[in-house]
Amino acid sequence: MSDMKQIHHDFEVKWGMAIDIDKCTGCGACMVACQAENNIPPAKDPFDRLRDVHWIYVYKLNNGREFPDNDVAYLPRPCMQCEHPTCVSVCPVIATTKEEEGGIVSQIYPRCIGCRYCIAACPYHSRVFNWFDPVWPEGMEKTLTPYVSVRPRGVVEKCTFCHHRYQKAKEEAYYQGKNHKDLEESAYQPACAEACPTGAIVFGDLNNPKHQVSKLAKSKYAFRLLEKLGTEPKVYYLSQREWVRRQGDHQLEQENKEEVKES
Amino acid sequence: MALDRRGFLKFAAGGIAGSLFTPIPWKMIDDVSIWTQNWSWIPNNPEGKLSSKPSLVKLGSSEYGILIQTVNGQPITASGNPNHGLSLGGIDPLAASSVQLAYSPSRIKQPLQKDSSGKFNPISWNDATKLLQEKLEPVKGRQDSVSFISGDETSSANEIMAAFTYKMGSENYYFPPSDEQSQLTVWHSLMKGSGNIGYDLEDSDLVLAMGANILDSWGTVTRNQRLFGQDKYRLIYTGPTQTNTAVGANKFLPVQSEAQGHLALALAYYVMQSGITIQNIKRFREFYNFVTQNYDPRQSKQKTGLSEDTVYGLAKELLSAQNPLIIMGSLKGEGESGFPFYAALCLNLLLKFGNKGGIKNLPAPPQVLQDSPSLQELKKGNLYPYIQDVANENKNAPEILFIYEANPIYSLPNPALTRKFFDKIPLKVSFSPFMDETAAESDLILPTPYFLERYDDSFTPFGSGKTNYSAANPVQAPLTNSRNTPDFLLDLASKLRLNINIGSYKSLLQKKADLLNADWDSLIKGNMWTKDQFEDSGEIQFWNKNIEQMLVHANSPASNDNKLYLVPENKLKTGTDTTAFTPFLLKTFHDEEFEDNLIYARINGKTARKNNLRDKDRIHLVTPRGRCKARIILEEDVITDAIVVPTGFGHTSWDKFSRNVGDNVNKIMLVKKEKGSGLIHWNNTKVEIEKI
Repeated sequence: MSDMKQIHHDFEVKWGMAIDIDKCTGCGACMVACQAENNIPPAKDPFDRLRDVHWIYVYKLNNGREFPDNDVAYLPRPCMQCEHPTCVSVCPVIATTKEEEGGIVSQIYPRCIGCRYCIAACPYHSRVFNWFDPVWPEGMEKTLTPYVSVRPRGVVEKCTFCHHRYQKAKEEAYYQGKNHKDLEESAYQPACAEACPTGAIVFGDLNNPKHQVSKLAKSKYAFRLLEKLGTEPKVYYLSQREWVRRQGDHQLEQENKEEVKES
Repeated sequence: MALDRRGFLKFAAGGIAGSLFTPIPWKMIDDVSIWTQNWSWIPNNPEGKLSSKPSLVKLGSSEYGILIQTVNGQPITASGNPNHGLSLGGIDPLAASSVQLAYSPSRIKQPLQKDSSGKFNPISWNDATKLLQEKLEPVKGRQDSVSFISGDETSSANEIMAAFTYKMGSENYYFPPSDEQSQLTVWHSLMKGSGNIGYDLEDSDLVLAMGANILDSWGTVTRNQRLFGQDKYRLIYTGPTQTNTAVGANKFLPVQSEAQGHLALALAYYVMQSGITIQNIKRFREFYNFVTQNYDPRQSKQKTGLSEDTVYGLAKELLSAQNPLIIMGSLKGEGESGFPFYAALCLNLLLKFGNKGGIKNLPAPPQVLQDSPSLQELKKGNLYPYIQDVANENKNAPEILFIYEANPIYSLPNPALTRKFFDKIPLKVSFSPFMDETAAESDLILPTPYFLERYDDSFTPFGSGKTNYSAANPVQAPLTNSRNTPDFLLDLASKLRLNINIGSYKSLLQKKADLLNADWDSLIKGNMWTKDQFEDSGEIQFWNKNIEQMLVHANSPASNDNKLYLVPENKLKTGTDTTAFTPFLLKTFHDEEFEDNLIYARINGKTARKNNLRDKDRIHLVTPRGRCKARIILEEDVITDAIVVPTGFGHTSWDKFSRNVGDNVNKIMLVKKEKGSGLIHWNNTKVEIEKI
């Protein structure tokens, strides 16, 4: 833990997410929007899930009870952009850092040597490895966006909270003479939050009281994944269902229930 | 000068220190790392001016406005359009991948004609026009000259396509079956209502979705989701499984699909017991008596599977809501019988009608071509019975069948019957942008442009709450040698001397906007025209001989067998009847939905024990129509005695991403005819399970 704290910076701006699990229907629009925005190629083999590339994945949760007491929820999982990222400290070539104002954990593709230590270190399975060179069906490469470079085989990648949108918002703020550390909520939204049809994904500056996310993160229903590891993720989840919050911290039956906020 | 040991060490130390302070080695390492990832086969990012263009999504789901982001005019991504009333800034997963779908390997590059060996060969537009002219000229004026199947119910293209069909002498114009069509049959034929049913979600505070997957695939999906996300309404869902709508809903009550109609009448019982009646409806007393005699709390429990307290509690919630709305629908969006729609319409009318919230009666679109049949008339056609009649030689087969953006070979139950119908027709012409199953079985394919490449419009899609109209310009030039079907048919009609009084499809759209007093320029900028325009519902009947027959049949004891209720579940991420899932959508599938090229059939543990099934068992779902291959997954979000199977798999055409992935559940559906309504339905199919 002490090592992790050494690389922690206190930023004035801390971009984060609050995902209302009770509003997520598992439609998958966030995943599709992310793929299109960030030039993620179609799967080489759709049946090989272990080697598939995605930056956000929607998991299906289940309370484990029998019908009719069963309950289901969906959990979209982008990169947690941890305050104490376990991936950064293990990278031997400084290909992943957390230095820029905003607290987004970067991934610098040309530096990555594909050792995959970061994949092993990330407790959230947020990082993926390119086992293959990216291939689009003929002509589909014309729909590549100018925002994110295309990653070759042998490189690790992950969600960046659509960092290019942050850069654009900052540039616009500079151009308009505004304070780039006090951006409006709508000035910078990642593709997944923009696409989410129920508005379950709320994005903004956790330090900015004008941003909705700063209030949602303090909700009594808010929790973060695997909080007990001390990584301090900046993605908060909300659910009024106690069983969902318990699964968020991977609580075992015999573990102390008081550790989970009761509804 | 001799280099002594000390000198050498000084030089080495200086060299090392120097190399640490100069940026050259670091820069070189950086460059090497960049260049080792910069290969000719890795595509480069485009550069250029970014902008955004409005469009209107047309992929077989509900139509709404989206924005297409472009670089130097080249579309790159799609997003919701905040200015469009049916998008409200949201986008569904299928539409989100629409830009990439334009480059699907299944796009038809040019007109194709099938030769005697079954192989498609290129044909020019001129030759195709000549061929059709030669075939159509001799049969002009004959009732069985042509038939038309249109897969787009909201487009004004129907005016031109229907005018062409009618002027050829035929009235055989059909849309594929849908919940909208089944409900309209009940509303018009049984209940003698008029207009179209609208769902005023904007002004409803409580929505009871009965089977209708309103947060995933039913009606105006994105609008439904957006309003739900903004907490505009409280949502209760009833159905045989926890669909995406049920997962989002505030409350989920498990109810078998075939019990949904009973639940609606059980709720009507409590509503009427509270003193609510409708004075101006003829023979209301007979409806009241029937419900009172057949849906008391004890009978309701037996018919719905829900406890007396649960039904009563639900009725209380409806009664205490200011503006409740009931939305009945099937998980597949088609193939439902009339009874549940009738029951839900009655409950809606009892609770609310014509004021704020609840259901509304929306008018039909205005007609530009006055001598073309109205859309309302066209929607009365029922495709499946027509296919049945022609296949069984009870009706003459048309000389030519035109199919516009529809895929009946894949989507209809009993594909063997549809194939038999196809075999009776000398010339099948497909107007499809993609090589779908129906195009592959056609004789001539005349590709229509993809929706991003053409002018098109949409009038009040099913599920809307108010009359609305949207139109769109092409966003990009056609990527293939295609022609917009309405314009092609206008050209063909003029060669055949069929007088269709409009110059082009675009001018028809502009005239339609004029008829509505809508601003064309505003429409093509992505704004939706809307109006609070409601129609008189006519003299609605709750009771007549046909309704009585339908109700008596619905209340007759069900056969007691050990078969399972087949629940086909449609999600937009597995595509629609007209559009297969895209490469991007494939990545959204869960491991619980699909694995090792097998779809998962979901059952709960109790059902598994009763049927001696285990998790991961490979099975066949068997009906007299055939077999569907799947793998069992035990999930407790499914009602007992039901088996939930995803739709959208088992394509035999399309592209490498969707072809031969899983099995198509449509092929094992059993078609029945409902007494009283005469509706053809297949949603309550029961299946046997055979282990492989």
